[in-house]
Amino acid sequence: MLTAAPSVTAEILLLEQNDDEVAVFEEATGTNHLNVVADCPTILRFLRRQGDQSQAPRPDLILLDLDLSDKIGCEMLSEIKQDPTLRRIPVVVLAASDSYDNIFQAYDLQANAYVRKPDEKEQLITVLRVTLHFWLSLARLPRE
Amino acid sequence: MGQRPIEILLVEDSAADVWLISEALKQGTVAKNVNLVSNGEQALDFLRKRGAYSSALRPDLVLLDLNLPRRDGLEVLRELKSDSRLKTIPVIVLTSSEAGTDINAAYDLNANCYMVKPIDLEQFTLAIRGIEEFWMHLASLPTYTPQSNKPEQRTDNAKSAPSTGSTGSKGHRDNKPRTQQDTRRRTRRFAARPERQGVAAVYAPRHS
Repeated sequence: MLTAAPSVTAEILLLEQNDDEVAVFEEATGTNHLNVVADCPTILRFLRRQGDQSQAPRPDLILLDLDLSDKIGCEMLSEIKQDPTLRRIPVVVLAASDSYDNIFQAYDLQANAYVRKPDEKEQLITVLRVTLHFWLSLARLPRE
Repeated sequence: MGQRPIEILLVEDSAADVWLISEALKQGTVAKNVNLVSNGEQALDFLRKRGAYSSALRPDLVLLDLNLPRRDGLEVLRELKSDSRLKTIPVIVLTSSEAGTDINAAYDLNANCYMVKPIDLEQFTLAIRGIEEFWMHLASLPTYTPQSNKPEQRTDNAKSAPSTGSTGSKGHRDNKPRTQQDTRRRTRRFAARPERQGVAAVYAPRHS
């Protein structure tokens, strides 16, 4: 069941390349299941369950690091939100930048929310926990 | 913390729900103005500054009921999200409908999130507090970024807000230096600030 109750284990898809940050996300994720993908082709195979990702679970929530190299984050956001079979999956964008242009661009590409990533580890864990609590326990999520 | 009240457009036709949502929002610490409209047509007029809403403010956040008279919430959502000038405004669907078809349809139309109004009063308050915690404290909105905002005393609000009971915005009064970029943005945003609409209710935030 994809609608979230606090006890439900949700499938979270994280697009992240930095191993240190992945460890922080794992710490904040709690009992939910974190699927970490580091590159564009894999994330699209994961979401479309193609090739080596044919057994991939449908994610309830996508966390997307916008600070990845070569603007991969924006590209992925755009791909997901332009695909009629994927676009209903909520995408929460995380980024270190707090510039107006970056925030505007993310919402313009139909990110569901933009959350600024603090530098400090403990703060990041808190930010992630508040984010996951809201999306997995208070919001209702779409079904496939 | 933010420096000016966050502008919320509440699209809700049930007087009881308006009261509940407003009361729950009042308990939060973020300074906010709630602009109320009660049907889908008014919501689109407000967003497009048409007719009686020609001097309406662009909302930072929309709370949208689905079951509305004169154009339902999904129609409002469709129009808003297909309008290049409006589509960046985050829309939180807040409805009594738990139907999977409504949830999917709302996300397909690029609703930013979907919440079901809890029947239980305490849960209802917690849900609204959750909206405040995530959308007004944590998330950066296209026109409102809580972490970077600098103090901004809005004269129109200062006049209409009661002088007492506004301690909730204490955190917004710090005197951090303002960046040039911020100043530019404020100037642009507030350049033609109109008089407040009659439908607007100004809430003085309190400490929770």
